[in-house]
Amino acid sequence: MSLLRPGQSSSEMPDKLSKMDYYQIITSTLMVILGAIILFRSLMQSFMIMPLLVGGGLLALGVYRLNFVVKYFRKRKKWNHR
Amino acid sequence: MTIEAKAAPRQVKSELRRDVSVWGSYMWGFADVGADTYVALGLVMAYAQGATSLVFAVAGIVYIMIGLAYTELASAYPVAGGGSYFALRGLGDFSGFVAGSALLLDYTIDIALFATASAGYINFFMPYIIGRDITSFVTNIGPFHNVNPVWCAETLILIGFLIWLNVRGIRESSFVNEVIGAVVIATESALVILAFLFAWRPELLAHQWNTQFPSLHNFMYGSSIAIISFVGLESISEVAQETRRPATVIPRTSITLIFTVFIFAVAFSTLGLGILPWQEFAKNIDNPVAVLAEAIPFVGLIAGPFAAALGALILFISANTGIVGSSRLTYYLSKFGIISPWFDAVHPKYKTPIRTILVFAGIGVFETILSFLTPSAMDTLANMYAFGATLGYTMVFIALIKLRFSEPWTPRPYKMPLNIKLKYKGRKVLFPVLGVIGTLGVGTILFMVVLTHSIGRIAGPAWVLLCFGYYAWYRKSRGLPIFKSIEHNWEKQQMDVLTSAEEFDLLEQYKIALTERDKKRTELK
Repeated sequence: MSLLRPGQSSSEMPDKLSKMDYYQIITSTLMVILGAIILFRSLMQSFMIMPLLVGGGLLALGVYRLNFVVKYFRKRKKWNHR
Repeated sequence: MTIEAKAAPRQVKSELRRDVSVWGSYMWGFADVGADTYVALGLVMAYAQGATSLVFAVAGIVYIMIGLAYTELASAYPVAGGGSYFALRGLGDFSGFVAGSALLLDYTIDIALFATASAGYINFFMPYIIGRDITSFVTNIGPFHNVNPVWCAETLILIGFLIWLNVRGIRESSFVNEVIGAVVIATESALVILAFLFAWRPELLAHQWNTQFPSLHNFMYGSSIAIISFVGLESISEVAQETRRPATVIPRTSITLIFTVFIFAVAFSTLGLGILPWQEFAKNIDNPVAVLAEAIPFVGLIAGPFAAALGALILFISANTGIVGSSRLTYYLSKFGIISPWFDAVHPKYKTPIRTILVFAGIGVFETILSFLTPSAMDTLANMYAFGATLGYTMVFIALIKLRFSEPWTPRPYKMPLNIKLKYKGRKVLFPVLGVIGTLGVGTILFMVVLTHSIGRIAGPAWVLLCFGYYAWYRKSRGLPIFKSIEHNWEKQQMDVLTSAEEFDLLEQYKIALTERDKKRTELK
């Protein structure tokens, strides 16, 4: 998730987030929550590789995607202060 | 007249239009790959039992490598033809034909398998509508046992509708894919979230893992069937020639798609084993995801039928991508002298490859009828699907490695990770380590398919041989070599493709790289 349109360079900053961006922010947040729940519940039971993979995968992917969101807002903040 | 010109189509006056967007490209892939879990879950559970999620993960890792290889090649060579084109360009005409026939088998099977599975999910509603279960229509016809004529007829009606849709043109088909696909992704996510929150029991998963681990044979069979959960990235390559700005769009859509599908496949199988015993899924091979959704407390009553409707829809659009893929693949094959230019004809009004749509969707119809004469239509089709996919993918990996050596100057907007810098014939080459690992991975799965699939190991090679018969006849009748390659002007073609795709930066890079190469060659002389 880049929060940038195809062909748009990182030096350009979109003023408004699109509906797709909002959708991706919501799904990324849900991934983090769900991944944490799966990890917690499976670790409470016993050590099992597959739930760890699914939970860890969702958590990691969610964090990775949210990282772009955070970067975007930081960059936009700087952009607005110019 | 060059040999290529001799083999080139005489009838093509219209080229495929570039009207597939980012979302469209993603949805072509998702419609194909995303639907696979709906088919594979029950089939894989029946063999992999308590290790189903492990089997999905193993096949998924191989799939990720396949996906990365396709991303590199499709963004570097954005032309219709996909894997077959890469094999032809990297390894020559005969290899292009072998890969093409394998992938063509998969596309025609895709039409048959996914239309059958779509009808299977529709049949979930049959007891509510007519008060009879689909299994009550099973009958014996002569020497053929367990034939289900009603299910077969439903499948044929669906294929007929898809043929009509595709003859009308990609804009309409792409629109269908995009709208339905958006609904599917949203509801599939909701299903996973609700199921993990309210129904998933890690203790049941642990119990099945510990007590019902499959035998080695079943594990191998399950793994080779699980690969069908990930077949479909080819679709993105197939519509590359119709994608706007492919070098920019394809890496984005492919990589997103790879991880979306991997997560869904592993999540569904982990969910399944944590909600119900694997036997429940094995009993309901025709609609396993609906069974899974029905088992969710509070919402199961609605989620079950909803998942069935969703499954029917997504499988329907997946069958649609099979028609699109096969028609585009044959369009390309005829363009490069692999099959007759007769297939090239484009509909004057709708600009769609009308003959290829009719012929290869017709083959899909034939395969559907034949598979319904076997004890399990879905298992038979999945067998052949796995063979075609693994053979085609093996060729793609080998082509990727070869092209890194033979065409290092071609701009690659995306490269597979993990490369070793080498010097080859005085030029720098990036050797793809992951490409070698991927070749071994997919080669192992191909080996497992041949070893364990009684129908796939006979019907798959028989199809390739049949295609070879046609290929040899056609090449001989045109005075073209059978095992050797005809002359192709790849450089001109690459420039034309990049120009038509409006990838002017890449075009510039390519021209500069070629000039430098020619300069070096002159210096050496």
